[in-house]
Amino acid sequence: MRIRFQPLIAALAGLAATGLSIAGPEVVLVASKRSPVGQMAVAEARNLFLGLPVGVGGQALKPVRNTADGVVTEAFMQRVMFMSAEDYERQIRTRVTRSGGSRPAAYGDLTEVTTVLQRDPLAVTYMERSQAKHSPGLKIIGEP
Amino acid sequence: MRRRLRVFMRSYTGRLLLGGLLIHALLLPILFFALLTYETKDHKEQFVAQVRERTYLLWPGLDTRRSAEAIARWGDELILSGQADYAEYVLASGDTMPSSLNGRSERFQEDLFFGEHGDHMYYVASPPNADGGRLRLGFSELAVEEELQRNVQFSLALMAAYLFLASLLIAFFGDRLTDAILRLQAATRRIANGGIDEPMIVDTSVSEISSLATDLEQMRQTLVRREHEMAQREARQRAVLETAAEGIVTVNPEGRIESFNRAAETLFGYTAAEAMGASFTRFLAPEEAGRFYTPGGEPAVCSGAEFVGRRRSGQKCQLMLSVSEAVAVDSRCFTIFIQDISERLAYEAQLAHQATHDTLTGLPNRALYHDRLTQVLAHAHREEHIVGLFFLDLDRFKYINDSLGHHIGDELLVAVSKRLKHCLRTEDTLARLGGDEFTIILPHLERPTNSVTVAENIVKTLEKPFHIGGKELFISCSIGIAFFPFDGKEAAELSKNADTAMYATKNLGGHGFQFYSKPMNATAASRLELDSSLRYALERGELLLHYQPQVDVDSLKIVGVEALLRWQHPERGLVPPWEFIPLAEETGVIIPISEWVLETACRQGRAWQDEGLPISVGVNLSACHFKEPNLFQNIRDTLSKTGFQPRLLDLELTESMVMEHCDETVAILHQLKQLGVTLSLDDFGTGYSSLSYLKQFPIDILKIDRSFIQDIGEGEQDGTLATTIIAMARSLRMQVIAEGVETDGHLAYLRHHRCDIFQGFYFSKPLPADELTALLRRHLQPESPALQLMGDA
Repeated sequence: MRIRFQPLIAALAGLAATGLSIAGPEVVLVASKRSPVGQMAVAEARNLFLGLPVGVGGQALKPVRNTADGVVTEAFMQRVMFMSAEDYERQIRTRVTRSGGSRPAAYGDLTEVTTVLQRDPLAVTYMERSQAKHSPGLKIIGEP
Repeated sequence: MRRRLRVFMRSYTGRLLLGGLLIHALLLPILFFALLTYETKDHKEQFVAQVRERTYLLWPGLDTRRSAEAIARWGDELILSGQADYAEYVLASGDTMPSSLNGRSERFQEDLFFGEHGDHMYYVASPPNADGGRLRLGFSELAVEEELQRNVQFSLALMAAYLFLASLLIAFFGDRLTDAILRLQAATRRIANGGIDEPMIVDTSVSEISSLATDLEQMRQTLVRREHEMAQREARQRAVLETAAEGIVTVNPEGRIESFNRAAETLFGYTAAEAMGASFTRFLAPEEAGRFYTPGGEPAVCSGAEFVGRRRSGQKCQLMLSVSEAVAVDSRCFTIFIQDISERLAYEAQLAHQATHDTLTGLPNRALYHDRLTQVLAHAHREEHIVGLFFLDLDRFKYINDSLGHHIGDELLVAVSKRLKHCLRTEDTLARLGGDEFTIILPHLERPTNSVTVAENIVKTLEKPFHIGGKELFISCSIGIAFFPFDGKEAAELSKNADTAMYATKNLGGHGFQFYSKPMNATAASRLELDSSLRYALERGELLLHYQPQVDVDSLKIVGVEALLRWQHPERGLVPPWEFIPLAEETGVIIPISEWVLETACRQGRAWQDEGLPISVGVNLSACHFKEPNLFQNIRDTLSKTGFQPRLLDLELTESMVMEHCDETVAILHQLKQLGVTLSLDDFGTGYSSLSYLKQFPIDILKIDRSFIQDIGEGEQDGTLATTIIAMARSLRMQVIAEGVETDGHLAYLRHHRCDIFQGFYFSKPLPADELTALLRRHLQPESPALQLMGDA
């Protein structure tokens, strides 16, 4: 007799998704209003967060990872990085190991992320659009 | 089956198996679930990563300048080539150009996680192109889902196999472990069933079980040792119990017998097997059963309680029971120690009877007589009655006892007591005070003269012959009678007076009765006083010997002396022999007196011998002394001690002495003759002389009694007896001594009839030793003048 586990697995997956936010969040790229970056393409953002040098006006931008919300992170990975979070970690680790440099700073608290961006005009991060709108001193620089 | 399963599940292996299964059943799902979760997550992440990467890679390949149909066909190519399962292009305006191969019901709905939306598709959109359009792709999640399902199924199968193998291994090792335990169990069961002597050897590599087996073996050895010691102790205790002289029985609290030793078997006549389980009251008299138990129904604890027992034969017996309670750890029992006191009680009763009764006749003895007399007198005092008290003594009973033996005497006493009983009323008391003395209490007399009838009846009854031991015996009695209150108001006084009266009867020749009178008392008192004085006369030196010379009839020379006993009483003066000799014979003092006389006479004879005055000394042997078994030895020792020549010792015997037990007397006389002494027959002619026996006696001298000498010169027949005796002595070759010669006529007559020797006051009265010594010195000197006779003096 074949045991049917599909309904169970689907139910568990659905439950997990419900807990994490069912509707896909609208992730935007954000920088300080003082940032020299006007608009940033998805490809540029991907390069920036993969540790490749991306600069504006001779100034290198600094990627800041927002790990406060797992779903936002996952949406960022799918829409900007086009890889899974684990692959991204592996990529970053490999790149830092082979090419030097440092991993993008990661903050698990949105307030901290906001503070970092407000202080550093070259810092670029991602967050949900509604959060970006309600965070003073920040501006949306890209909509993947 | 269920029972076996239940038994198995209760076994060590079963419990181990159950425990192992429970542990695995709990832990394995956790482990597998964790692994599966990790695997699932990994699969999903990989799928998501692949989908995103593929989308990113496919996105640049789309030429958005193409026509809508070409874009749609490109999408078809992606699906057909298996690179995607869903494809469409969304223009910046929002219009979509889907691939014709998309399912009709399929609708793009972006997923961020595997399995999101439950549509088995993962939808993802590329970044917008330069013209703002986006490529939307869908990838089937089914392959991954199936893979995950297979993983689950494989995991479950693996888990089941694991559990199965684990069960097998647990069962296997459990069996290995329990095998040693089972062997231990078998060994312990064997011990429990009594197979304690077989060593407990369990060969196992499991150290704990091996150690346990060693401990159990040591325990077994300890048990064997203790069992042996216990068996020895039990054997000893059983031996003690079985060899105990008294019956020992143990009973349970209901009184049922649990053990019954050999002494109890002997006592009751039941075997232990028969007695086991029976109630102990079975061995008691029915009326005693209730007393054995307490009101609670248990045997009553007691010590030395007397019960009436019942033997198997139905015979009753007297028992002394001591019941004690023994409390063991979880039980109680009662131990009964049983002594058969039947014999003891009978003996005590016999002793009590003996204490108050005469063993020979069964009559009350002196103690009971005194008690009854006291009671009778007390009663008589209250009721003012007259009480008569008889003291009765058989005449010449001593003669019968001595001549016919004590057994005849005893039978005679029994017969007398029976006759006396017939003469009395039931309320009268007949008692035997000892020997041939009886007392009779007549408790209620109207007049003293009423006792005469009783006394006469007794005297007449005893006159009739007794037939005892084939002999016909005649006996008489002397009775003394005293009355309360006339002759005494106390028992002692009345008894003394009745005794006095009885002696008065004796003094009058016996065979009759006398009433007590006060003069009797004076005589009796004098006699009693003499009796008590005589007992100390010897040690006080109040006895002495006088010697009367014996003179040759022809030469008138002193040839010997006769020692004559005298008592110099400090108050009464010289007491004549006929007053105290009979008293000494009655009281038995005559024996030491006779021995003293013999020794003193021999010592004096030796003294004369040493002075050169060798004369014979005649010593009178008393009848009692003659009957002494050590007479011969006594005389021999005396002669040896004093050094007196035996030929000079003349032992004077009376006729009655030698005629009694003639055969024995002949032997004694011959024995005495062997010492070399001379034997004289004193007072010859006064008694019952048998000439035939006289011939057999080794008698040397016949002494003619003074009464025959006194007759000489009194008439025609005077001196005839003396002449006959002299003639007979001559024919028997015996010497003749005439006693009591007092006149010339006596001497002339004797000389005429050729009598050998004479003694008497004609020559000399009996003299003290010193005076006689002086006489002898004068008389035996060679140049001494003719014998000076007393008559001449």
